[in-house]
Amino acid sequence: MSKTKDAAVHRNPLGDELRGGRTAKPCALVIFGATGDLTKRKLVPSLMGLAKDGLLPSGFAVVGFARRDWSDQMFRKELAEGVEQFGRSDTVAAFEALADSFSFHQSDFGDADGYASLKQKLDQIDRQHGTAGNRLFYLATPPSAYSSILGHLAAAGLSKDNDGKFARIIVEKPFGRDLDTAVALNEQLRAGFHERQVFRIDHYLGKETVQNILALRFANGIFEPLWNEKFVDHVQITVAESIGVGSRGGYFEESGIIRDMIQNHLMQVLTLVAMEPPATLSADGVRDEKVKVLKAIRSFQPADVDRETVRAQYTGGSFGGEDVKGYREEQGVPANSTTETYAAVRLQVENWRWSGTPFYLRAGKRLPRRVTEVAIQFKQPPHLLFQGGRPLQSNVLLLRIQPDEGVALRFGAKVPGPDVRIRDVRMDFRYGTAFGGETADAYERLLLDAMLGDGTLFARRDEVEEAWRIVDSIVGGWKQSRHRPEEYVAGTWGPERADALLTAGRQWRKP
Amino acid sequence: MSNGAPTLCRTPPRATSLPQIPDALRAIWRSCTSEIGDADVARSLAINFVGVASAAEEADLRQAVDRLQRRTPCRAFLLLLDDTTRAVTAEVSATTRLSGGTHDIVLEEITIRIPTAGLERMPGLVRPMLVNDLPDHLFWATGWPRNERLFDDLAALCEHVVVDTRRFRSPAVEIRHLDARRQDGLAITDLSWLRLRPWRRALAEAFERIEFAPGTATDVQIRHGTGALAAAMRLGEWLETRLGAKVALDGAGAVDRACPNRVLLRCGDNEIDLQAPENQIAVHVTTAAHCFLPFKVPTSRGTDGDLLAAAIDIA
Ligand SMILES: NC(=O)c1ccc[n+]([C@@H]2O[C@H](COP(=O)([O-])OP(=O)(O)OC[C@H]3O[C@@H](n4cnc5c(N)ncnc54)[C@H](OP(=O)(O)O)[C@@H]3O)[C@@H](O)[C@H]2O)c1
Repeated sequence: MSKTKDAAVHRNPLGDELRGGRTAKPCALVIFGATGDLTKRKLVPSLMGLAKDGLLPSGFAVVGFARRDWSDQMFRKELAEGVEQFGRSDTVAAFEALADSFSFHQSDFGDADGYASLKQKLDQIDRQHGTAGNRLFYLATPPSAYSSILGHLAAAGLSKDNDGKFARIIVEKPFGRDLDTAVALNEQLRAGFHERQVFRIDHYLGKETVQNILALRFANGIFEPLWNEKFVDHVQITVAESIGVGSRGGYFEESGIIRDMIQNHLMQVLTLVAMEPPATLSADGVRDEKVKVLKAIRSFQPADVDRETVRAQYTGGSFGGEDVKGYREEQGVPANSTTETYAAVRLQVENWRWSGTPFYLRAGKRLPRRVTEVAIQFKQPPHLLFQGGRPLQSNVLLLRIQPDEGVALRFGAKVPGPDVRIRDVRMDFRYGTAFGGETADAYERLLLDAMLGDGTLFARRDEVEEAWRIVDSIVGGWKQSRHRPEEYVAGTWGPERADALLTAGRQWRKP
Repeated sequence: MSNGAPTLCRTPPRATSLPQIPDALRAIWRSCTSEIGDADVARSLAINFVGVASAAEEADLRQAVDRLQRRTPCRAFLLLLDDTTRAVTAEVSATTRLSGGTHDIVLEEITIRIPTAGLERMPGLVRPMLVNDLPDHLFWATGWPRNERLFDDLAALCEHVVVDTRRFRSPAVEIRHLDARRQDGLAITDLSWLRLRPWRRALAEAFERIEFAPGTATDVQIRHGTGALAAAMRLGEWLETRLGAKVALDGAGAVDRACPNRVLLRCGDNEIDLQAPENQIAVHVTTAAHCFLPFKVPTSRGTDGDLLAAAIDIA
């Protein structure tokens, strides 16, 4: 805790009401790109979820920064619609109570005057709304705008932490499109902001079930002793989407599933599953351990990429009773595209804990179901006493991240009767049932953490760069490969060749 | 963003006698399985819950349990006190939630209607039916009993008791009886106190804007209606302890509110004025140097059922 905070708490005789929950200091949030989709669908509805739960500071205001000629009134009207449509129940009243705290600032990202007037506006907001000189900037813009905004914020003197007042910046993915561009973006950020001021959002980390991976591993005594190469045969991490690229074909063509999903979401989940217990749950305590996992994964040699990975594109087919297009027929996608809509990768985490235990990561579009899960597949017992009948599957601990969030364990149980017959059964814990209610959106947690200055659930610079190092080595291998991407029919679990990645009798799960 | 409402099915209530309750529960389990056909049925209970209310308060108690069950699946005993009859009746029902192709039993409800005096027998009846290894919570959702032993015996069954002092007939006296038990080590949560959370938060936020020197003479006026006497007392006690304030209660506020209508606090040159005409508390802070724009906080964080669920969460 900082000295200034100590002093403030000492001065406030009722201060523990604010510290009891996680209450942020007063601040003004400036959203760049505030007329966009993200602001309306996610950011403002999430802020109102926080307001409803009493988690916003009373000194709080939002400034929307974009090009359109909108008045404050127009801005509020748009946001109110967003809250109504996308917010949790009862958040409309929260918006009505706070509407006066939202204002619009019209400017082009490239116009220096726009930042000078923003600064004046923020000073005025401090006086009117008690936001105490603290600022949180949110880049909800196309990545091409980052450089200009970062440069202008620094030039206008808005990026510095001063006199105990904070300035922080939240950056949306993608964090670059390869290692070089990620390093360039990180350098731009560093020119204006210290790393502790930077919050790179990967919304997967805001999901309760992703955070539950740490709770499951480190709050229970029974799992951790088994969590290593001695007992775990392999790990499968799957992020499957049932939708195709739709109207985003042009955007997707530039990235492919490996940049869109694997570099960020899957790598983040992998690090939480594979990391060592951190000494503390501090932001750097956790992130230091996560980055060690990535460092323990070697870059691929080009010659190995065809053996260790599979990439594929969906072809047209019948899906959910409808005929759907293949990827190369989608709008904005060239007929000779080689961009992958499915990728599977075998990774080895080369450290004491995981040596020899493969991690299989796969992500794809137009797969049969939308599902994200981590399956820890345990080894068979050393001696199989109960034989005969159907071969027994090995034990699986399943962490379901979406939908039907929860944890399940598959194990063998005796079938009642005079014979000794064993059948696989499943023990199932479902979040929705055990804790019910409405869960907050991932953005709620992440916005609150950024206001609190807690970076635990945000990607640190070295994590992002390490993940790109690995992904770049795969993409580099694909570029040199003589093979085109495989094909799979929309609505199936991916190309046949993906099966060859799993050796020694292992099989992909069909979640 | 919201998860949408889960699909809940409630079995029709099944009348039974007191000794037959365990069998009726087993039968209801079987009927859930057969009605649902091929789907899996599992039971996911997180707590045992004992709720006590008068027959006239039945609808409120049921609503609260309905909210509770959404967050905290439970086996719930609803003990409804009805002095208009000497008959004792019981019924059981179950609520299942459909999730991911499986039905989970999330509420087993055992409703017993008894005259108040019959409450004496309830600990002996309920104890063997509490599900093992789960925390037990009592919700005393009615007025303070003339025969305090009825409360004590049920409280002894549970590790945590929730009360709503708003329902007390003479809060000024009865809150003292309750607090004596707290001092003896009983874990008690008062919904009146939880209901004040937005007020406490708003006051704390207001104090962020002023310099407060310990020992400054502080006067507080709390205006409330009859329904909010208990809440006003709780808030007053808190401000007395924390600020050494002199607190005056004024009972001329709107009757139908569960929380105060206005809190006016003066310390030194500072004035903090909280007014809640409708669903918001508007907080005006004035210091010698500054008059801030008022900030607003919603007065409520949900229904009584949500407060009950929160009380059980934090227990
Ligand atoms: N949408 C989502 O659900 C989602 C989810 C995850 C991540 N993201 C990421 O979030 C970022 C924003 O996404 P989005 O969907 O909200 O984008 P969007 O709908 O395209 O909005 C872009 C915003 O940027 C503003 N803008 C663009 N150029 C400008 C300029 N030169 N000067 C001033 N304003 C300018 C636009 O303002 P005007 O319209 O006024 O010109 C608009 O407010 C992207 O990086 C995206 O990858 C989005």
